Amino acid sequence: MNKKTIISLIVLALVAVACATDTAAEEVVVEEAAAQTTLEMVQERGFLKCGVSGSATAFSETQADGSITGMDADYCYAVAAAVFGDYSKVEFKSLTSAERFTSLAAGDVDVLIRNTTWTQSRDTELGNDFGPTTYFDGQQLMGRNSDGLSASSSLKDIDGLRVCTNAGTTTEKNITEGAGLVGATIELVTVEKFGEAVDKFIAGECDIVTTDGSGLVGRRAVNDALNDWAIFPATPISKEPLGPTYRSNDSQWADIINWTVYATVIADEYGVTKATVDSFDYEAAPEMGRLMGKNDGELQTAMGLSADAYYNVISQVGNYDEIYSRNLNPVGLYREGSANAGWQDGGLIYSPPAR
Amino acid sequence: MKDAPLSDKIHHHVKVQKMLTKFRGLNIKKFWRDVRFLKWSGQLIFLILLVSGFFYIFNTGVRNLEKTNLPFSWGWLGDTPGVSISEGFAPLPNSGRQMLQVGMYNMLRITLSGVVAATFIGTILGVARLSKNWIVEKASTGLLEIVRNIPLLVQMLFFQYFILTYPPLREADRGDIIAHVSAKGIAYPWPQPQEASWLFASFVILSFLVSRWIFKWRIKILEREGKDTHPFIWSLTVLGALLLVGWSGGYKAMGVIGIVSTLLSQLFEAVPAIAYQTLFAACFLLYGYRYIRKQISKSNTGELGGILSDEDYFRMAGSGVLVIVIAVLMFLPFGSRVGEFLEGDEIFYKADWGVSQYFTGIASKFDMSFSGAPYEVSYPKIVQVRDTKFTRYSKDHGKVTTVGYFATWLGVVLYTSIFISEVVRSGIMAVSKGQSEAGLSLGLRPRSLLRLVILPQAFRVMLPPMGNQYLNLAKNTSLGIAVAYPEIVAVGQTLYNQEGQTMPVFVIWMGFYSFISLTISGIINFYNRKFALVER
Amino acid sequence: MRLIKNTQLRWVRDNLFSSMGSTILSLITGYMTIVAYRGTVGFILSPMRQWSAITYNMQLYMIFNYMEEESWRAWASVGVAFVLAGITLGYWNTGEKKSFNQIAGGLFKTFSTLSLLVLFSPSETEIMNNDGSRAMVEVISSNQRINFLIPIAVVALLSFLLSRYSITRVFNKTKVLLFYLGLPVALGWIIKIPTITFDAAGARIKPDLFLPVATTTTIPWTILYGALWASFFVGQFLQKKEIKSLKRTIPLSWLVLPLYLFSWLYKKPVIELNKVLMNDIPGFLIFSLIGFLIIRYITDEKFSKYRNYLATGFFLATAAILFLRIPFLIKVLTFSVVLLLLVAPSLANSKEGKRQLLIVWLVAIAVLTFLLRGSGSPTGIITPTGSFLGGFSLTWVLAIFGTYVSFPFGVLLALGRTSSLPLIRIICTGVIEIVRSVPYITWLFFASVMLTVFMPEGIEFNLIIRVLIVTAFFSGAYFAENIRGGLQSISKGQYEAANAIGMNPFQRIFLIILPQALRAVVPTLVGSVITAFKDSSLVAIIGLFDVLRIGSAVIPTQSNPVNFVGTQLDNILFIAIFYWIFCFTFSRRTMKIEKKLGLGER
Repeated sequence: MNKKTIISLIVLALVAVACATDTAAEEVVVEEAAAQTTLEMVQERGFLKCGVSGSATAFSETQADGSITGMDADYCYAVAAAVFGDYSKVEFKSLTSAERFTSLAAGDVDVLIRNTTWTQSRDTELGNDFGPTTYFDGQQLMGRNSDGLSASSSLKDIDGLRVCTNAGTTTEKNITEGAGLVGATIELVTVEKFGEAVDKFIAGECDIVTTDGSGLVGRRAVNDALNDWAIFPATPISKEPLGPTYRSNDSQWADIINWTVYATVIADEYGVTKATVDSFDYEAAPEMGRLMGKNDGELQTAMGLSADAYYNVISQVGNYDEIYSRNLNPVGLYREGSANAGWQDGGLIYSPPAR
Repeated sequence: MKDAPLSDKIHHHVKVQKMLTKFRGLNIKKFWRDVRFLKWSGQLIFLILLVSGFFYIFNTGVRNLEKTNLPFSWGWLGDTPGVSISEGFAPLPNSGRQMLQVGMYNMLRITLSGVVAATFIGTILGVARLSKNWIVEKASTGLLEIVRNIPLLVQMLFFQYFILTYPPLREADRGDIIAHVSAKGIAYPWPQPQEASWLFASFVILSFLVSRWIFKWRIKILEREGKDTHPFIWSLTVLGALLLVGWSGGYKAMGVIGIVSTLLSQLFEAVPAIAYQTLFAACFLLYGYRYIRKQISKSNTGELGGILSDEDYFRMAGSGVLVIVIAVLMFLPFGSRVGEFLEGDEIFYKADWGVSQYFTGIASKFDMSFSGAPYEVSYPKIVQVRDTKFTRYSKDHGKVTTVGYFATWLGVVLYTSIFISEVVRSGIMAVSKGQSEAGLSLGLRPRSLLRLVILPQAFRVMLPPMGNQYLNLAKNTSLGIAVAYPEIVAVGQTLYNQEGQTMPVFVIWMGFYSFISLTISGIINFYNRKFALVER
Repeated sequence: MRLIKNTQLRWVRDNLFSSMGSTILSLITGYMTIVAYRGTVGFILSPMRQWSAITYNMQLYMIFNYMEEESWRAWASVGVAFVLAGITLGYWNTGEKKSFNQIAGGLFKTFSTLSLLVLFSPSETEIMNNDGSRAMVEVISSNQRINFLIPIAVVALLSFLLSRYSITRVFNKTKVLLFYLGLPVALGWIIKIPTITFDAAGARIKPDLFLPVATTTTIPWTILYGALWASFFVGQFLQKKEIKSLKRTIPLSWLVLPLYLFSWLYKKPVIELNKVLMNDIPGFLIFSLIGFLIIRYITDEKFSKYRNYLATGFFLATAAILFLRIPFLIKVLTFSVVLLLLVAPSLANSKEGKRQLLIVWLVAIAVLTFLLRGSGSPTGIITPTGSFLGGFSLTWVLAIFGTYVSFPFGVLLALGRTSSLPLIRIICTGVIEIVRSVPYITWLFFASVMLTVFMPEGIEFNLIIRVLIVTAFFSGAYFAENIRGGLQSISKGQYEAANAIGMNPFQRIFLIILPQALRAVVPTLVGSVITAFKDSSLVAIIGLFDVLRIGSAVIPTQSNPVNFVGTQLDNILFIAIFYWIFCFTFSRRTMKIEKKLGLGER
């Protein structure tokens, strides 16, 4: 055979070797598919891989030193506290809305807490399931008072205007559908990240900006120096229940995530906070006691966790109300009167009992 | 044999070759040591390895896709995507396919106008860099160095945020304007084509051809008789006169195209589909036959005397197979679709026109009865949105460039034009000084020197790199996704996010961009060959 | 002595005002340049800018998420590069001298330009108030302007005078360069800019302090600068000692440096000692024994007829190994053995040749094992966002490693494209054309969403690795075109001459053809590092935190405890200047290297 061919084939081998398993890919995680559950894999790894946004005000923001804060981030910490007993064993992955589901499906992250809306198509088609809703949100629009809009405006008022939103989400579809239903024609400008949409709104290129209500309130709290921005319509144009999502092939892992959220809700019902978790009277509230592992902690150990898993969650991260107020109150989102109040206060935050 | 002297080895080798040519086959040597067998088997093994590797990857992909409940499918091309696009001819596309077409349209808008603008600016910059004037040279070099060393994406984002610093449109701005810049974009006057525009455009092309012919005619007289015949002045005057005539009504003469198109459309419709199929099949078979015969006859001449190289075998085999496949295809349903498309009966893959409808369409644009000025300048207007406090540029007056379009267009044009200026500069510098000195010593004036000696040679050198830069421009428009311009990459991304089908979108991207590359390379190669030096 | 000569006036007339058209052009261009300059300076100095956004977030820009306690590793990486640079400069010091007059002349040019710049700066700029009205505010008062102008003009004048006096003092050119490099370091100590600081409880200290430019980093930079000088002297010393082996060692160290930095210094691998003892040391011993045997016996007459079979057999073994799961290190070492088998017959002919080849082999295996152990072990750097690379460090890794992996691809594709076998040629041409015709951003989308789909079950790659794989294809295809140009430029006479003296095709390619082809391609190689550096900004779109993403998406969303919303233009301007400095310096160096190598001249 031609020597040049041999050389070429050998260099081909070099190239194939170089790209089949590259040097740094020895950090490969080879999952033995059937044998290991997600919990075992996470415990073996030693830390939780949590997918977040990294640029969603009040839900997951990146600070100057690279750390992530926000409600979603706090729930990541809560899951880590439940699994490891130490809330700091988390590795955050900032995912764009385009790649979040593929990352979860591929195993890049163990749980995705990225203010993701629970929809029928996502539940069925994408191979993942949704946990309990941590924030009941809805899509709304934001415009300026000085332009004649107010909190009582409706979709009809955006006829002929330019609307900005970010790409790859349910927001695009909702606004197109909603505008079509009321007969309004809009110019829809889609950007890669929501921050750009707000920039365009501030600069005046877009007349309206739309996304989940929580995002709008967050941005308004930070950017609206003149108190000119109005969020409408009062009833959101779509339901956006935000919560954690995980792969659908592991029910043990699903239970762990779900019950972490429920634990914080139950603690909120009983008023157990980070500060009072040690001094609380568990005799008087046996449900709370079971959750905190005060007896044999069977409920937790049957799930594969340690008995004091949820005790760690509350003592290190806090209950639902603390998580909510810590992150969302500074931007002007309050539980009272919204869908996120407790069920006894007229809201939708409810959890099954710990029994 | 190994230790024999060199002359013996050569002698033996020649003897073996002679025997081989006599037998024309694989005889005395073991066939697995024959070079031709080894070469071909090596290539086949390589091909098999490659194809099996490719299939392995492909199957892994299909398997993984099925596990995520998102099998590969093309059905989404027909579904309504349910999103709207900010720019393009169909803001609310009714199918995935139409959405992609809008993306392609947006990309081509920038590419076509960008190519023209970048060539123009690039040439000016290139000439400026060669100027003797110190300030001009330093300024253009400075601009080049600045733009070249900053990534294109950074520049585009900069332009986007720059134009966003302009104030938004306010109530006070409403009214008629000549040109305006705001955070909503740029508005400027633009000639609107009226009903006679097609007629006029073809008339303009005809005028250019006529004046070019006149130019060549005067040059021929100049060279033959040495008289000063002012070819430029003649051709320019004729051009000007024709354009004037055309503008005021002469364009009606082009109505003849309309009549011809109607006739053609009737002709195409009259011929039955099957005739087209047989015609195509026959043409391909004839062409293949002639090509193979040419190859065989080519090798019969020369010292090789009838021995065909592997190249030739390969070409013949390949072309034979290709031709037969096409001929057979012509009689399968695919072929009948082609035939009916030409006839105008059956729509071809959901396009709503066949060839004869196409000609009817042309005829409708070239109707001799059209009248009026072909183009009218329309000025932009800032209007109120319905009855609200909002203000915007009117869509029906003048032309409005959105922020995304502006950022992409300016970024891509500026970036490409400095590379074109480098090409122009190196092209002109590549012409050796001896040429200009020789020209001057012959008595040529500097302007004629440029036109007759330097530019033709420089043009030849400049053409391939220029084509390369055009390709880069076409590909750089894909960065529009970062500035919210809905070109095909952005549109594709929206589609695969909504539908979940990443593979088909990627295949479409590859096909589209390959098509654009091939077109541009083809055009450049054509001009390259036209201007190539005839060498010994 | 005449201060202003007639020739200079004549120069002005000829170059600026030679004809009417030229005069008009000069005036127009000059005016436009001045307007552009004033606009830029006004923009930079406008009170609406928040430059503290950049100074406060400088760490974010440089190393993004890297752990605070381990940031000495980042400094050490820079330090090692500086030391190597110093040794290179010292070792290859040509002793070129710069005269005092030249230096003074250069200083005069710089300071006169500076004074012109200060003279032409605008004094006021337009800002937009919150309610939309526009106003002009003063940015440079006449007092400030005079305060800046006078020292600069004085220095300019001094240097002009000094450049006229003939002083015979000469300085080493490289030492002058190093001295100039020290000026930014010194300025770092002296110039104070407003910056944001927080006290121990996390409350902001208002009013904002004026601190030296790089508050926490002046000391490390000074230390590194000192190390640069020290290694320069070491290099000069080694040059005097005429140590020949360094001529090969230093370029090889530059080649190995990025791999070492990435796999050991920056990554902080967690080494398990038993893995080293069980895998690496036995592997090293076994493979060095194999290599020794090959080198010793390959040219023995008895084995000569088995040579080809041995090579083919080993190649098949390597191909088989591709599909088996053995440690990557063994794969690489087996492949090196194949290379050795091909190279040894031609090189290991004499005792001296054998000895040298053995030394090279042992060193190569040791280095390979060391590097792969480092990159194969898990990292000890735990960052909140998962990847310990971000900001500037990510840009560098993508640029350099992108070039590394695309080079073999490019060589392979180029060899295939010029092959005489039509099938291979068509396939390679097809691959090159298809890969090149699709824009880079599409390939990045492919890497981020689709590549995982094609991977077998369970293997996951970091996004950065996937980007590198795709870059290998893309840049490799571009590279292949350049290398093909180089290959085609070699005249057929070279091939014929090599055949005439009895070289086999392998020797011909590696000893005659490739060296010539690659020599013509070296400037393109450096150019492609610059291009990869610029193209790395595109990963901002697919979600990696490189400099551009930090500047346009991360910093402008910071609202707590400092509010930097709306600072996009400032950040983008900073990023543009940052890229410009690097790319410009590199392309200048490339031009000088090109001239030195004498490429393009016979």
